[in-house]
Amino acid sequence: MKTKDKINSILIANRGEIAIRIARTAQKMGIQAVGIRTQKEPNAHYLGQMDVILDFPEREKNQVPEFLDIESLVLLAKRNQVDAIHPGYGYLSENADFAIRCTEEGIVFIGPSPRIIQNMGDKVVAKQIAGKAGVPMLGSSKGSVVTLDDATVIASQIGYPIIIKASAGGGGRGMRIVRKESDLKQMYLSAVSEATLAFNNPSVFIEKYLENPHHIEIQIVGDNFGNVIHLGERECSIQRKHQKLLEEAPSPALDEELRKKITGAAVALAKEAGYMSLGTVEFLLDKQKNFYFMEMNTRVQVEHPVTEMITGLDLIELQIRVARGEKLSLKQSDIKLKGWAIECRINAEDPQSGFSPCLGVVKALRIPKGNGIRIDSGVVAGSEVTPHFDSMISKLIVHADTREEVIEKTLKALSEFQIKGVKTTIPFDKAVLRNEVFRSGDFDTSFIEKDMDSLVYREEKEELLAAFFAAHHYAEQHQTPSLVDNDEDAWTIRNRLNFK
Amino acid sequence: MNSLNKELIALNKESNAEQRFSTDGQGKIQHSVWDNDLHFETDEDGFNFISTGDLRYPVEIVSHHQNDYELLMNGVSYNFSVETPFSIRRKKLLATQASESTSIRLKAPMPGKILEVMVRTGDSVKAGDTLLILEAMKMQNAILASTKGVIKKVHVKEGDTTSKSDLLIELEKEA
Amino acid sequence: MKKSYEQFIARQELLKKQYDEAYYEKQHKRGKLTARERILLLFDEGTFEETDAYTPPANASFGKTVKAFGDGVVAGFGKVNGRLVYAFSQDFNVLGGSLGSQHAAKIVKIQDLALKTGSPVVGLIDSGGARIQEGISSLNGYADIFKRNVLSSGVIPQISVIMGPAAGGAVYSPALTDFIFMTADTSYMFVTGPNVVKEVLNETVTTEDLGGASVHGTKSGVADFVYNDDENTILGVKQLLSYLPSNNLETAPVHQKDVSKEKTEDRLRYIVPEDPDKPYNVKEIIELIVDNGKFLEVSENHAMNIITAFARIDGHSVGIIANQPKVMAGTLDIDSSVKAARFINICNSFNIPIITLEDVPGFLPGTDQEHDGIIRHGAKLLYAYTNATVPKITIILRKAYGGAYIVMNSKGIGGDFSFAWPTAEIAVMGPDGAIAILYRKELTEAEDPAALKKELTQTYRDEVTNPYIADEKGFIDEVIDPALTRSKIITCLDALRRKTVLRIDRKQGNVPL
Repeated sequence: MKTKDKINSILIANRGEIAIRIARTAQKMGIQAVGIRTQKEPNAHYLGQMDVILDFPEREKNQVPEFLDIESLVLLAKRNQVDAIHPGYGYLSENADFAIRCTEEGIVFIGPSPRIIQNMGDKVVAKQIAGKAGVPMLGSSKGSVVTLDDATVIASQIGYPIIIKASAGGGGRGMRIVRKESDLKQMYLSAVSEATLAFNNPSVFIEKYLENPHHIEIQIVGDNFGNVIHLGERECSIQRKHQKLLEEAPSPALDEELRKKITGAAVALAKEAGYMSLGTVEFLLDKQKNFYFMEMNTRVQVEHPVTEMITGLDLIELQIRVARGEKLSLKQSDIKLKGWAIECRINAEDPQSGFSPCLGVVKALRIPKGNGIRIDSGVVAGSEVTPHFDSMISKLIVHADTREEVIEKTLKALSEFQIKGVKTTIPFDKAVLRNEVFRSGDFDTSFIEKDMDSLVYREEKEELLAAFFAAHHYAEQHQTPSLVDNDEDAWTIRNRLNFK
Repeated sequence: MNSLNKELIALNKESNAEQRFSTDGQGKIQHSVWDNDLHFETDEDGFNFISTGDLRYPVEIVSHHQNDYELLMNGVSYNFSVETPFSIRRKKLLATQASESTSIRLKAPMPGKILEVMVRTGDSVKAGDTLLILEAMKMQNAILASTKGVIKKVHVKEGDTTSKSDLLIELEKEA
Repeated sequence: MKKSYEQFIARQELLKKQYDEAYYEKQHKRGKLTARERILLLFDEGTFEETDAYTPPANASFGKTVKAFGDGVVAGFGKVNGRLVYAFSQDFNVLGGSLGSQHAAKIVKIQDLALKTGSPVVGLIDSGGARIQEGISSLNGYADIFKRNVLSSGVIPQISVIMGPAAGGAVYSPALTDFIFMTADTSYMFVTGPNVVKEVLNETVTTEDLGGASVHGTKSGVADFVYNDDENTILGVKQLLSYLPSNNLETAPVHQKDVSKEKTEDRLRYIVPEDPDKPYNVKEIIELIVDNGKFLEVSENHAMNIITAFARIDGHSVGIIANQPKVMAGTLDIDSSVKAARFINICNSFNIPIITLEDVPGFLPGTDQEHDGIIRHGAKLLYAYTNATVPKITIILRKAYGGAYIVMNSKGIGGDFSFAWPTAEIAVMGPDGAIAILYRKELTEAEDPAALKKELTQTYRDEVTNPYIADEKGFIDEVIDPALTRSKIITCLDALRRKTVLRIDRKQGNVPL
């Protein structure tokens, strides 16, 4: 892999809040931020943050979506002499082919090397590496499961319940839990088809499924010189259908000893893999506090801000530095975790109807401000929420000294966060933060299903006031209107009398 | 509004809870229990607020048609219909007449694309059977039969795009 | 004096007895309000003056307890939001609301008074039909009513409100009036009822499916408005009246201006998508243009590919006609042509200016439309627009192709002002069709027909369809900034307020039917 000493410009192959995030850090470092405009949202908010905007070439209706089009993206960078590409998260961020093509064309891919992406992306190889690093794991298929028959055999070997996962990506897509053999066929087929749709790759593997574990992930960063450090953990158990909705750092489930063990395992794994750039090692924690390696994400994650809040570091900056061949200037002993941070993903979804996506235009937006409050927003007043893209429109990240404090601070920020024109998951976030089980810190991935009485939090007297508003509006509509004098003039009346 | 309607009732369409108000016919209304004055304001950013005492909440009308209102207060949806004592009585009357109907109309829970239709007119289905697959936001959603019955009519076909609440399938309930 | 006064009071008591608790309960049990309640709801409190309250049915004997004071209809006049209106409300509780000769005479009386005084008439229909016992007298009663409906047509607004049954000949009076309201679930109208349908055609159908509000509000388009219940229906009638003048010499009452609207509305620039094939909801545009975002849609669920609505701009009542790209791509077909034509005629009768928002790719093709007479029905719309002498303003939002362009109030047929948004495309036909015809030879011989087509489409857009050409030739007055649409309309309406057009005398034009 060729590393350049200087990266003068970065093509951001992504959109929304992460594109803005990357651009900000790039600009802070004196690097030109190059953004891509698609026809699907030509007036998107993120374009306003860019130094240069490139238009994606016109496309037919059924072509690969813009941010999944490897050749076009590489060509855009090459033609415009951009030094590096940052893939953000999702899309091609964990696609080894993309990384290879970049390198072939002399463009720095801001992320790990293609070999690492391939290895960690291949669940089989990843587990081999984990094994070598002495990291504990769950039973799984040795590779991708290509046929239904294979799936049947492997599943009964591992023992139900099992989970089918997409090899090429996460975020809950291409994922199916199977509790008995009779369900396997339908689950397998729909997992394969969903994986193809989301990642352009039908490959799936099978793993033992733990009921209601904790989901803990460790942020690590490595350079090209074999140095790897960890930046603490993130607690990501608040999930619905395997999609994270609310994250925090650190995790209330870990004590110092456990933290040492898990972070130690994560670093060992990364070192064994020869890891460089940002990465996240995901673990599942069972009721007995045993942890098992799940997978490693070789990209920056949506929830990286909570780590930034408690470490005071700029992760994108670290990522860019490492990508241009710098040695990590931080040692593990430099990393101090201070305070507590919570991130609420604000999605344009309706928690009252099964989180169905809400489309529309953001008519007005008001974001909370204050010390320790950070908003990473992909929308602004006037932005349109379309079905072409993910429904996450903003992230609210709050930091305070203790967990109790940050919960209250986040609740306050949520009540100040106002969006007009689309429904969001803000009332859901309020419900989580007010929930006793959540506040106790003793929850797992079954939280949303089991521990929530209501998926939305209703403020005091809310229903009464809403009723009042409706009745008032109705009564007002039917009031006697106030009229203005209407002097009919002679010309008009004369001609009306004469008309035929 | 005149003498017939000194009373208005906001009926919560989901919970059937009733909030009663009296009106003076000039647009001013008073709640039957809550005494405080109400204030309405719109700020420069275009947000509407309703405030009373020390409570102040943003409110938005998502849609309203005749006396049906869909509101968003603090981002939470409320569906009300503004009724009078007479119209509530009428509603109950018509409901008893209608419950004899056995037709179920399945509507799209969200906008998306029809990926696959599993049934045809005349097919027998049981509760929980998958009737069609709707793709939205890159996730597949199975639309299931809510009861045992016979497919009366399929209104969509593979490849169709649907909006929220579009009629997908009509099902005739079996006793 | 005392004895005759006592007699007078006694008669009053008899009347009160007719309208006792049981009278109200009987109707309420049906989920309907009584005739008295409805008419009192219509009028401002304390202003209702009843006429002929004591009229008994013809052939009734004196001195007996006739539980039929009024002959099944409550008639009179009063103020609706301060304006004089005449109304009658048929009483299903009294002789089934059936029309007898006295019943008809009461209605005729207020129709005559309304015409003499230039006031609107509102009829609340809830009737079993002609009174069989009275035979030809009741039929003649209908004839008297129909005649006055026609003579008043276009002179005073006439509104029919179907709040119960309306069958047989009884439906023709509403059909002759300007607007028909129906109350959902508890009203129906048809010429021939289910019983006869069963007898003659052996077809079983319920009253609701044959002629209920759900049918007439959608399929047939006979009902202009459908409301959830009696009270909301009456409130709807009052709202409609506020957009209309009392007679054809007046203009509708003027309301306070909406001062909350800014001069520029940025959002208007983004509603119409750049991609000409992408649909959008034109109601969003209407909301941003009219006062308080409020408009009253006529025939909301019928022919939904065109919107016809009353609204106010700067306090003045206007009629809005808009193609709806969300439905059938906004093409014109038989139903929408007729719906819009009728609306234009009403606006023209009552001095209401018409604002047209145009985005129409053409008329709907197909044998169904042709065989059902799209030629005749499309002509109705063309006739209506051309004939109307009220101020007519057109804004071309996007497509305006071929015959549909001409029909939708183009300057050529008499539109006063025609504006276009930058997204407008005005041509004989869209790029696909035009290029296929003009460049057929080149396309078949081309190496890469798709690329050639793309190139030619762009050229066509640049050189033929763009609105600046129409602007230069004078067929459009100006290509405007969408954000300034409302301001533009206000200025033009102001300028056209005294518009009058003189025409050559004729008995009547031959309107295509």
